[in-house]
Amino acid sequence: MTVSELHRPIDTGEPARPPLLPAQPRRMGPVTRALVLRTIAVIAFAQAVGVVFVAIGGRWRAAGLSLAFPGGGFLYSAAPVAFVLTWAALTVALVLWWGMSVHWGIPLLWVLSAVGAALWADGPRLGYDSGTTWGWAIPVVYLLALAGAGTLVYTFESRFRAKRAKVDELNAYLATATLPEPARPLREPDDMDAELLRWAYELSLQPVDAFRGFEWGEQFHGGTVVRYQLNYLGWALAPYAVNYVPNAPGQIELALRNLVHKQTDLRVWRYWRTLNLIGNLDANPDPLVRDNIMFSGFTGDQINLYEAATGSTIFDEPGSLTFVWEDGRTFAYDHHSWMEAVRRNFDESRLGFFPCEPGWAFAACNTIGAQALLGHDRLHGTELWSELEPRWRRTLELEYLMPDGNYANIRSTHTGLSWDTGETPGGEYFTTGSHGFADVAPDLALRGRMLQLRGTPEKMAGLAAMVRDGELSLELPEEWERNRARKTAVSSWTKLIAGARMVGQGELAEAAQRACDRQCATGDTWPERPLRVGVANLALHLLVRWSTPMDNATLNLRGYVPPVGPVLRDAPWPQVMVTVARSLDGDSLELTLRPGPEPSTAAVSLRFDSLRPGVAYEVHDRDTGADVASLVADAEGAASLDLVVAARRALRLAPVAAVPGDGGGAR
Amino acid sequence: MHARLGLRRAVAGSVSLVISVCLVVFGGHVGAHVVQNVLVPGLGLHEQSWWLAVAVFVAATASIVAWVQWGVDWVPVAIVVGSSVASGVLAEAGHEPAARWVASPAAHEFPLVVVVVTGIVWLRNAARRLPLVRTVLERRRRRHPEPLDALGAVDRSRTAAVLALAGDVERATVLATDPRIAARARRVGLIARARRGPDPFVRDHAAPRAALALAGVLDGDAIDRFREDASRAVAGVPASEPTWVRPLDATLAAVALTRIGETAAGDRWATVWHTNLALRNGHRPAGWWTPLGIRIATAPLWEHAAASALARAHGWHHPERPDADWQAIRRRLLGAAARGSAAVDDERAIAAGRLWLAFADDEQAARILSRPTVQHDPLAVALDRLAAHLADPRDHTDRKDLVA
Repeated sequence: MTVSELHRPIDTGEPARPPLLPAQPRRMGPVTRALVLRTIAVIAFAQAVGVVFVAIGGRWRAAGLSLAFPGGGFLYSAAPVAFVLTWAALTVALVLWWGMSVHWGIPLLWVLSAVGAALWADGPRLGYDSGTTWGWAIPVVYLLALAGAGTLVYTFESRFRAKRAKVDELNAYLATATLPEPARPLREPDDMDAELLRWAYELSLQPVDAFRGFEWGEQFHGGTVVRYQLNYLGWALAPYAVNYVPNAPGQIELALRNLVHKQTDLRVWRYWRTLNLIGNLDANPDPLVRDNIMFSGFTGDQINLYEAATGSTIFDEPGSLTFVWEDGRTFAYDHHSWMEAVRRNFDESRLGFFPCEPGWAFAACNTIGAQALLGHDRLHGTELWSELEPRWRRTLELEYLMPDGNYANIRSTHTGLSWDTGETPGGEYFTTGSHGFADVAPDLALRGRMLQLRGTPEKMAGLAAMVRDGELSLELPEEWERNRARKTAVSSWTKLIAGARMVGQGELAEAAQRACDRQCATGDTWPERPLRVGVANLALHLLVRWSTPMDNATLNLRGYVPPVGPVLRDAPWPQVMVTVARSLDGDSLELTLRPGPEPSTAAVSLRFDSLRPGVAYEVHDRDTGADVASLVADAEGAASLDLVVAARRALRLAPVAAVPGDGGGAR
Repeated sequence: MHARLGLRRAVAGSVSLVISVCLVVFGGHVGAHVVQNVLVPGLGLHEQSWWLAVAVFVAATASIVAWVQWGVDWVPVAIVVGSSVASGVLAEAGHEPAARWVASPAAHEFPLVVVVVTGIVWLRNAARRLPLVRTVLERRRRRHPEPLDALGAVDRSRTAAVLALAGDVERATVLATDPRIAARARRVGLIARARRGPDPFVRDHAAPRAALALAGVLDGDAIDRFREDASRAVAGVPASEPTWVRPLDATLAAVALTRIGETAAGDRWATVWHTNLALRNGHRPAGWWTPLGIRIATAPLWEHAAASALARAHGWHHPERPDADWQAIRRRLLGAAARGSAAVDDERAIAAGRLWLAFADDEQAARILSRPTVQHDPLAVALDRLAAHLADPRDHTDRKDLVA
């Protein structure tokens, strides 16, 4: 029994109630407080040294003023340009601190500005005599230092108090409000679904070392990071596998497997060596051994979902996930050792969450890392997650939770500081991870969902009123993608569809889906994209689109369950594409086939198994009701069928009656 | 052979040293300038004109490249001798020679050659990996819809020979008989050795002749000349260009000669392969200069891998350490596989590494090397096809005889 299961907000018969927010929230958790105090101590020490230097006078005074406020000594030395340049450099260092883990950038510049100011004390001046000093700079520098510190404290404190002031109201809401059940329709894929699936397959089924159709750019943070494109595609295809084609795993299993294999391509993970070198001063290129949860956690989750959706244990084999550095060094992992590396990183982290980029621990990535451990436990009976869970929850609730139920997006593991990185509104969120805590902390998921959806049912109801005959006559404004490559409305539609489903507005979600397709369709095929949006956001759209009735959180908790009923074992790609293969009654098979990217005018051979041995099956057209073929399962429960797939074919394979003998294959 | 080459090297070294010492001791200022010029071509002329000195140095460097590339050995000799004589004749009296400069026993042009050639090869390889250069090269490659057009004559011959070994004799024939190959051989023969005549392949040119022989388009007379050339050659196989033996060309020639019944050629080549061209610090040389038996530069990874795998397939490996080459190159091959097939050298290395998989029981390497798609460079594609041919158990029962 895990902590999450103890807290599971179901099974009571009453409307589920989430845990309330702490009535007397603390400003920061114990580890964060220790880190912040350490940072304050270092700054205070620098200030004390600065005061001593200022008191000594001469060139020491210039150095001391730069310690009091970076570049302050230059102001004292009548070098305002150097002062401005110092702050320009500090701004760059700040960006690099976040972007490239250059933790030493600001301290280095701070110290250099002190050394530089001391060395320049008697040097030439621009427009002034050598050795000129501005005495007024001393109070100004200290005022600037005080103003800076005061602004930081005021910003933090006012934000904290504003959030704390909402606690009572929010707790009252949490104690009384109810949310409608989410809509989880069983969808029949339409033409756009088929186009999108074809695109995803072509992207995934190209040779493992080929990345045609992916968006390449910088690989550290931005919207062109290929590892995330691979993650999102894997996350999107996993629910398709369980919701649409559980009884035809062949094509989608290979696509999902290839997406994982592509993660081990050097071009995808090479960025880590640079980050590790800069941020940890460690030249080890191994992408799993230290930090980097945005890779290890995300891809670990992707591997779990692959295994949970397909039942394949190929990545459980030793060395099946081997990274090769450019000099030939190998770092061999498998599903188990991968997860053990994630767990080890959690264990070794003082904060409880471990960093993505060195020094920066994100709540989102650590939640996905937690999902990964949970998924592995479910699939393999390990206790990687259950042992870690109490500590993980403590970190989440003590170190990252804000008074109003939001969680901080990011925290520096060196300084304890946290700020709005621009990735999420306000640098915070009510739920996070790709499953919104639904699997790793269902109680917190409910609380977060309730807080997140305050007022949403009313807004969605307003939109639902606009739906006429299943159509939503609306176009959403286009917004810039994160990589600034293009504007798109798809992301807004994705949020709308997800929001509508979350508040049970299934009809609105379907109408929004169609409206999105209408507004954003390009008519292009791979390597271009069928919707006007980048690869990452398109994959996220697919994740929402295909996550019904089962989503990845449920899949992660469920693990692999073999399909019931007939299974279409082989369907030749790229001649034919299976868009539906599922058995709703355990006996028959609903099958929808479409031409693949290289369709054949000749009949293609389809091989079925898991049929009832010796039983005759009829194949009907589900659209017209016409008989298409009949076949008899052999003694092994297998049969094959030759079929021309020149256009969409919606079929139903159902047993007719048992026949004597051991069957004779296809007709 | 070892003793003979050793004697030659000793004589050449001694003569160089004696002449240098004599020039310095007895030649005075003139001799010092001559020695300076022998050490660094052009240096002896610096007092007359720095421009002239630099021009001679550049010309000497270019001539060394031409020598290493095409065997045109008389050009660097002429430049060094000519400029040395000129530096002696034009030397001004009035200052003391820097006699200590000649104290080093290595003070002759060969170390310089090794340094220059190795440096050029290293710089070229390093430059190809620079982000901007790599982008330009990739774009240029993309502009050629048929990469075969961009393939040089030597690589074309190598590709033909490898394809023939892989069983694609038809395509090998087309490639091996490309008139550009004969034109190059004619040009090299004329410039390097003043050879004229209807048959450009009368001497040397190991790769083209191997390709023609393996494709089965060498006539009886040409086969006889091939055999005769091999029997006279110090390496047991014809040189690639006059005086230069290159590992892959020589191995392909040995395979071809073995196939036409000249098994002694293979045995003699095997001796050279694991003595004169033996592994040193994990590398084999890019070339071997037969007059003095001098190794030069380092063989590119792909050539090392391809030549050693073919040698291994024919039992020409070191009897006690049959997989020494694999152990030496394995990690670098995996690195090439990690970098992928964007760069030609890496693509060839990947394909050549796959040849080795027929002999090395190495599951991890097999998985890593099998991952990149080899599809751009024709020689890499040919090596890949040969690797598939070697790996196909339906075709072979005894790996030693895979390509025989």
